[in-house]
Amino acid sequence: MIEIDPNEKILRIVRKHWFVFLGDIFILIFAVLLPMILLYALQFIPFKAFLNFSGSQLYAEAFFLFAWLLIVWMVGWTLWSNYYLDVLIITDKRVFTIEQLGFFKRVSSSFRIDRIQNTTIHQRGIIQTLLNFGTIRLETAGEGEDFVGTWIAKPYDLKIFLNELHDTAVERSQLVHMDTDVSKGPEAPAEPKQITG
Amino acid sequence: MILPFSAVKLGIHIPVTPLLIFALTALLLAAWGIFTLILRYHWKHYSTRKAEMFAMSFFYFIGSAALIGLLCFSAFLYFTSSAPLEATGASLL
Repeated sequence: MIEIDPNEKILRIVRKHWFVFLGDIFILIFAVLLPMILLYALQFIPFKAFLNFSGSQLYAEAFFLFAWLLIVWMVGWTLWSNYYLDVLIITDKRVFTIEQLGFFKRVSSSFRIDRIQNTTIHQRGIIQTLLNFGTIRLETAGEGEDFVGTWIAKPYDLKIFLNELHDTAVERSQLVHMDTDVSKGPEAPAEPKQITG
Repeated sequence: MILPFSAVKLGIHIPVTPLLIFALTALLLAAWGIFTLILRYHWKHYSTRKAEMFAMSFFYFIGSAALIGLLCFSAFLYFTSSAPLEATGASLL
């Protein structure tokens, strides 16, 4: 579950680049075309000798084709869910990351924006450069693990956005207001009041 | 690896009967139902907007309905095409 506080405002939702899903698309296309390939290959295999159809062979072949397509449909949705549910949510206070590794395996973490100490972008190769995606590493204060997000689309835009948010969060946490107690009179000394973000 | 045409020499015959088709259909529908529950659970709890859940449900159920409809229709056609053959076999006995 994504535990976002009701007072938190979601500013941006970042997903992995579509290039990540391209390999899965090729697998799905091959799986859909596999029955056609088998139909051609079966001309050379006397499968009728060991398969006894009590009804029309055409209807049986149609049944097995749609059964296979239903299985491919479910596999496709599994792959799509693994891709689409990997998400990086940026609120005005924290960054949430959820990585779906399977239906029964996921890694989720969160850290405060004002604890980000360093933002690093790695963009390797011609494909990452042309398609503008890469790896972003966020180093945080304390002993917690650094966040590493791979295949992030437009990483430099995200870095600029996070840096601006970080600056705002740090300024808010260090802001000091001068508060005057009116009951003591106009010449009473002002008392500094720390306002935490 | 045993090649398919070796099955002929071994005398292996797999009868594709309406009962087999019915069992496969039931198995597929059960697997689809369990998968749908798991899929909807994950999208309900881990999607970021309700609109995503709605879009996912729309496309998923439209596609599933089409495929399951075609699957059941082809199974029905196979049942009806095998009935006269079975009747002929029974009359010969």
